Amino acid sequence: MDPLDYEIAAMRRGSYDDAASLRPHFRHLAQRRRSAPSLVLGKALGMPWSPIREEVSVEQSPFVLGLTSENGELLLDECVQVSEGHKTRERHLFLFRDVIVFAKLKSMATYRLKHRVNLEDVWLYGFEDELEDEEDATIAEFDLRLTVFLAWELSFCLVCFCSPEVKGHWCDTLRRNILNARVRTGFASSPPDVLMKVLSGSIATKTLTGGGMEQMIDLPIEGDVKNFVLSKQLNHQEERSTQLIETKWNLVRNKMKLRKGSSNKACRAESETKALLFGQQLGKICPDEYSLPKPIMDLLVQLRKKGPSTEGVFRKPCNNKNMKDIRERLNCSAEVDLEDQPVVLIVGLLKSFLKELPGSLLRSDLYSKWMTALDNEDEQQRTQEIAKVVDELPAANKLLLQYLICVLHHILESADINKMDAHNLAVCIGPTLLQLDDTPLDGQREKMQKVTELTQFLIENCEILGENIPSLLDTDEDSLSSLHHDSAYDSTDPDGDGEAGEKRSSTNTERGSSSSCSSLSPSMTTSSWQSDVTLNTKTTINRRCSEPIIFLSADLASLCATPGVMTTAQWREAPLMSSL
Amino acid sequence: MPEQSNDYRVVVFGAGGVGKSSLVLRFVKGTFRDTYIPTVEDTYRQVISCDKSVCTLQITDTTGSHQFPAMQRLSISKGHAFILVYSITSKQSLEELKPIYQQVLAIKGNVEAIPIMLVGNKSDETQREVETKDGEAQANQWKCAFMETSAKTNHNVTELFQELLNLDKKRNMSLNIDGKRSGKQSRAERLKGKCSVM
Repeated sequence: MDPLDYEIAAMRRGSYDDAASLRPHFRHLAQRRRSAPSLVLGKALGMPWSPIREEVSVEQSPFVLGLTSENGELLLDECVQVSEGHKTRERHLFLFRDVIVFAKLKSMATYRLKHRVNLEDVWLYGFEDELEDEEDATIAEFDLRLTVFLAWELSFCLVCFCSPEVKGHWCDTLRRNILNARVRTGFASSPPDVLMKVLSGSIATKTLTGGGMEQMIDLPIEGDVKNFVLSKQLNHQEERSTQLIETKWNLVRNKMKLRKGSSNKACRAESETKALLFGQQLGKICPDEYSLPKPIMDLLVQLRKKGPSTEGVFRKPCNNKNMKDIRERLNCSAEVDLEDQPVVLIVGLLKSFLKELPGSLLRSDLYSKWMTALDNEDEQQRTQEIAKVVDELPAANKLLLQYLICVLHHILESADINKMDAHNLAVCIGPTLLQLDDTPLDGQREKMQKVTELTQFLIENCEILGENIPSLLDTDEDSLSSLHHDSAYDSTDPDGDGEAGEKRSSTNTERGSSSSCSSLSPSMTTSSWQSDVTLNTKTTINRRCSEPIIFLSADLASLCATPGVMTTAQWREAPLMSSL
Repeated sequence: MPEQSNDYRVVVFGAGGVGKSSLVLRFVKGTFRDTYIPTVEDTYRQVISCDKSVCTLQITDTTGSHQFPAMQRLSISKGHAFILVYSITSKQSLEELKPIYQQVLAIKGNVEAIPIMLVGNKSDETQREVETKDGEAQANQWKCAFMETSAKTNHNVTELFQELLNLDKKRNMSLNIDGKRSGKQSRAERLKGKCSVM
């Protein structure tokens, strides 16, 4: 059992023993968080938090054992308050590898199943954005610090945990597992039906799609442009007089709307409907399988250039506020001049990107393979085995890893200046490359150590990842600073895509010379240039408003072929019109 | 995992490179290394006297180079006392402590009964970015204790840990195992440098 949970469970039992008080469990909670109004209100409204009996361990109950056999191991369980519609009930929440289960506690360790939802269908919003604004983190009687919003096919509910740390733990685990489930099932998330119903129906939904929920969820990138546009329209629409079914939800919505209105982050409103960069699956945000998203490439180029001469690069912290600010801007594809940013901040952005990458760069599911390979005594065999695992990585992951190791290799070469040897670098970056959120926290430390070893090995033996990794980001200094270098431009481009290519010629390139590129396999060379083409095509249309990912996935070829390029606005409206 | 009631757990937080490990190693081993090695996480144990008996002081030296919220929350929920370290040569490192303090506050609820020490390390350095009074002001705001230390010159290091133990009013703890002198008496003798308890 997770130690955190254990402590909470112990705490709970402790309070339960306190027979003198009327509502021991509840009182204890109220004391711990005196400021938690939901609890107080809950009491006033007569919502009991009946103490949970844990005489029979939850894991051993037939209910859980039965589900475990179908849905993978039990990761977390917790007694929570679930508000659905206007009813708030006490439920036991179980998180398995594949599903989340809502159950009602009947008697000792027997439960009645209420909902079982596949994780890939779940949308989660933890109200983190609202919390940043502090002031009062309460909506109606919900204390946002304790509450998460869950939505799936036909329902949604608010889940209220007993303490913020429990909520945080659940949020982290749940989020990770949802992403993993989506990766596993190859499920391109479209909004739950409930949301679609809302979108097409009579209820203004600004709030459901607003407030940064998309940061947690995959936008319907492929094929679902209509929905996307629709939701965008609704976002900007004035609230219609609505007949809301439940006043509680009304309150929540209005409150959130107000918050959004007062938000001074103009960008945030935009980002709500934009394709995002952080926290998305790498394969989805890459223009194609041979190239990385431009902002990420820019970060790597900057680090290649300035990293080696910076003491404590990858170790020293950056200003978190500034980092988040730029992260937000990159997320809504605003133009950011990374050239002027401090190196620590560039590192912060890259780390943040890697940390949020679903499934981790080195793929959490490959952990045991990595470690088996690393444990080989024989140096040569170890190298071979690790190279094999590298080949198992998805193309995009491998590509980013190659570039990252290239940067780290150059930092290592100047270790006497920046004081970051391979071990130091591995300690600072390793844990973000391979995250193990399903492992209990105590076990994570040991595994983290192994991941660090692996990272160090990769940095020291960069040739494993392919030939000429060190020259991957080679650029002569001039071309980097002038940003108007296109020597490599007329490299062979057998696939044609000529039109786009012409547009591109006027724009800059920040990637090296043709010689550096040809160090990669030929196919990679040409394709990576192609990707530049695509990126720049979009640039020519409307840089600020462009939505690179949507754009690329929406039939790019046809767009390129259109003589008079459609404006972004037209393009947005077109599907909407047809839908009306 | 059963609760080990006999342990008194101190957790050291701070940004990368402020000298958390140096402080802990200076205290535990009495040595100072002028190397540059980031920490993953280390735990050190030392026997101290506590309420006329002995208990284990467990010091967890955390990483400053990458933050995993779940890991951090676990450390906080397990810890009894906290040392928040910044470097007087970096204003940013003091900034970095703010979210950590907020996290402690959020998890522990009421920090008044929890020993927290704000520590400005590297007091031997001349290129100061954070004045002593800035550190004091921050400690004042957080209602915690404050000290400036130097792991390099061994300035205020033992004092830091003794003072932290003294802040815990529920237990009477001392670094000396003989336990003849009460913490408060020895404190007066020990404190040489700058130390103020807010």
